[in-house]
Amino acid sequence: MLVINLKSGKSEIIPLLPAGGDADTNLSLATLSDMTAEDVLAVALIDRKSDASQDFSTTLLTSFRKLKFSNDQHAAGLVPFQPQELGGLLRQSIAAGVKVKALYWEQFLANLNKDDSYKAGHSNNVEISNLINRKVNNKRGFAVLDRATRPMGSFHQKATVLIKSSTATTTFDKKRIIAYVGGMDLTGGRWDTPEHFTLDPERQGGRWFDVHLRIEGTGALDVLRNFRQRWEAIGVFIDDSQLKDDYAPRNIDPEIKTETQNQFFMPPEVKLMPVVDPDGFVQINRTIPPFSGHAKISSAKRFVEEAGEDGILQSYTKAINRARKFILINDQYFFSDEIALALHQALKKIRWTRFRDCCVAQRS
Amino acid sequence: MSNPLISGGTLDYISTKPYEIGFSGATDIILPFEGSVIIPGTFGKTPSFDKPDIAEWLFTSLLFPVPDGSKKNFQCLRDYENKPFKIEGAILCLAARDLTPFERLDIKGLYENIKKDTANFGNAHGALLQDIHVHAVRPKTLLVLFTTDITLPDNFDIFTQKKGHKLKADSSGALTPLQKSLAATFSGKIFAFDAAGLQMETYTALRALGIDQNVKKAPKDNELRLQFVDIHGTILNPAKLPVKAFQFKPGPGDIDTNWHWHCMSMGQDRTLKFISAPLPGNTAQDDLYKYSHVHIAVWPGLDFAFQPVKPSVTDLELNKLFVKMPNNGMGFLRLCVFHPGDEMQTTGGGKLNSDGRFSNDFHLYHSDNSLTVFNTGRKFFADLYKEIALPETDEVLENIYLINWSSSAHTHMLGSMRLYGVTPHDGGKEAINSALDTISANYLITKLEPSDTKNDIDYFLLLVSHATKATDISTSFKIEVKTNPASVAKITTSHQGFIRKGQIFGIQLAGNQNQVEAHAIKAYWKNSVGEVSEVSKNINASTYNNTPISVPEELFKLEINGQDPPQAVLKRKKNKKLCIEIVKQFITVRHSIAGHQSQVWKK
Repeated sequence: MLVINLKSGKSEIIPLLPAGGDADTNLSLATLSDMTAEDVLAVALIDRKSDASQDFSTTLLTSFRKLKFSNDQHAAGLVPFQPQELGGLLRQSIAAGVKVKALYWEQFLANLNKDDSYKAGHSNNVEISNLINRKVNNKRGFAVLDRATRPMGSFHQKATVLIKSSTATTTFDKKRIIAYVGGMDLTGGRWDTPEHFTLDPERQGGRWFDVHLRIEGTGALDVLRNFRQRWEAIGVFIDDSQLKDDYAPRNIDPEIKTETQNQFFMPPEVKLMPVVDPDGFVQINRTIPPFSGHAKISSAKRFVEEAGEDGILQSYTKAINRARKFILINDQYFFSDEIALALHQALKKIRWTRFRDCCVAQRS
Repeated sequence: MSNPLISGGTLDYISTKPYEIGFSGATDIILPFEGSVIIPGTFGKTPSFDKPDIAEWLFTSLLFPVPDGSKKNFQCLRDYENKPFKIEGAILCLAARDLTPFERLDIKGLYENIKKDTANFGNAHGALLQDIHVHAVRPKTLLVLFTTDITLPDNFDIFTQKKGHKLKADSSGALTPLQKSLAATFSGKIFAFDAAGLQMETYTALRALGIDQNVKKAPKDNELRLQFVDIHGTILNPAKLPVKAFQFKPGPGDIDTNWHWHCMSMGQDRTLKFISAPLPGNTAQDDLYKYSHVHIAVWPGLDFAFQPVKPSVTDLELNKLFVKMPNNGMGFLRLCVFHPGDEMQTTGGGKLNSDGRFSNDFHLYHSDNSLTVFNTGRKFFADLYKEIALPETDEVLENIYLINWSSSAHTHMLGSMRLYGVTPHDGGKEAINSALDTISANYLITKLEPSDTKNDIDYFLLLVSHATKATDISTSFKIEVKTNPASVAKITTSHQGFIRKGQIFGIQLAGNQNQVEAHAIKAYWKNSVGEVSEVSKNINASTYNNTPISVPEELFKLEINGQDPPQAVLKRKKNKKLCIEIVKQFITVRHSIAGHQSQVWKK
């Protein structure tokens, strides 16, 4: 039997009847240790006496059959992952005892239609959520499809926080905390290089221009604090009779519920990695709109006023207002009245200088 | 002494723990102000009031502290390192609920010359600071910790008493259980917290409350301990302020590294002078930015603007600040120093409530972080992979928190070439062209099942006809195969994948009605310095006429094993007869048709 992996280009000849196998039951022909779930196998029967040196025109017995995992298996997270894939990396961590919590946006169609399956919309978040929530050897992570946005809104936050402890001494109780925050989701299409070659054999998706920031130190705590607030809000939505219909996630199991309502771990002390001169000034801004689920929380878990929070807009306008000579804005979505007004005022302010050129370029 | 805190005992200043005042031999405690008396309750217990309003946050948190091991952890109170305040033992909390006792302190006088209609007002702050209605260096909470072994009553609710009320001696129904507990003399410690819940020096707090009881070993009246804090009250390292320097007359004294303050003796002419010019000899733009436009204020401020430190020197006349204090002095002062350029979010942290608590937990900015900017996914993903999969030898990864708009479990963290073990190709176009020549001259095409009946597309698989030809391909590269031009099949890209050195490979082609479309193969590769090149070649396939023996769908199945992460397992389903039947079919066909060419189409 000839097995060809159409994506990785690997091939293998496997006996159809492995030694010692029971032909009347399911036979495990091979463990494809380097196969990913997105690979596609082409399997054909070849002449049993053939070997790799023979011409396939004389040995091929059958057509090839394409084998791949079903959409349902993908959606359930029941597919193989290599450790170099995000799913494999997370499962490997969970198996090693790392506590994993995740918040993914549930697409707005599901948000609007309460009766829709939570699989509606961008099903990729369903797959990774189920992968994280899968319990193997009594170990699992906790992933929630968060739908607490305002109608037609989306959670566009992209953040990762890692907490590490030291094994160097038993008395060392400080935690090392690393946060990644910025414009890049942890999805295949975001992998790109500075050259952005149109054809790049390393890339999974199209070209991607974006920026991400790694913060190590106390600033990372605010990234974690944002996670904590959203995470604990899930626990509120689940039990709040006024909010649960609109905002409680649908992929909640009893263990997730308990996890969202237990005390959230925050590192009591933060260790800064030994850098010569840590001088990074960090401020975490975010946008939480009014009319979102978070703005409607009235319990002790409230973390934003009903009017919401617009720290990112404020930081933009303040930076523009303080500019003297030059403003460079690189933004995927750029249609804010407030920003336009701020730019207009800034241009008026500097009209007597030679720095007056204004250029708007749209990315194709 | 007209205004004591305890009777029948002594107060002691502990020089090694200057945030505390110890006491012993006390027979009673006298409420130093009109306020509330609270005894912390048990964690998890339901508060006796249904929905405490925002003014009750302090009392709620004190009644029901968060447990942290054997210690009680008060989230609403922060110690001098800005960590949740932890304490062991029985605690009596005396909390002021109004500011009446503090009227005589006139901090506003410090900035009385800065009017709201002047240019200086408001240019460095937004609505946040105007909302602050609390006073600097004024305790709002006193914690009295009993170290004597006494049993405090359960179910002891908040009650309010007037200033001068004695907890033990005065008659009150609400105090009866407490009076029994305080039957003997007792000892303990006293802590003070300002209106924002940040621990402050207790001796100064007692003085600010008007308590004139003698404190043994207390600092002299002309001594000042000066701390610098950010806008949240977080103590700053005096050696790392965003100012070039500051001067104090007669001199700032040494920095106490334990408490991050300057201990100094004040003379009659007390002026604090800040100098914020760029560092000498350093004209880097970032330093100019960092050391310009610094603002200072008494923390947390009161209806006054932060004072800009410009152009190079600003004087704070501290003697005006202390003019109405007892003994014409104040032993402890916090000054907020911040750079408005770093203060990008004018309402960061939300509003500061009258309780001194921000409406959310966000800090405005943090210093002393190590930052790395990734302008590509390659660097970001690789760094994240390293931190998760390859921790340092003395580190253990404990938690991963993820937030994403969209996330795919199939993200190749280190790139597709690394995932598939494909090495860069440095040999130039010749080797790739040779490989494409080998493919175009030696292929065979067979059916690939299943067809896409919905879109009427048949799939075929192009194989290099002889295995040795595959080994003739001397390097690995990636291909993208498209119909050329698209005419019959409703598909453009039929295949994307790697051609691997020395391996048998298949290329998926598209067509319909057993006709294979013409295709173009685009081969592209990356060399070891990251450059990408490409070449193309057309594959003009002919009609595929023969239907080979089909592999039944039910014969093979892909499953996973029980490992974590799981691995793929290729299984043959339980149907031995089906296998035998396929072989019989093959033998039949082989004998009925001369040669073996009928099994496949061959060029």
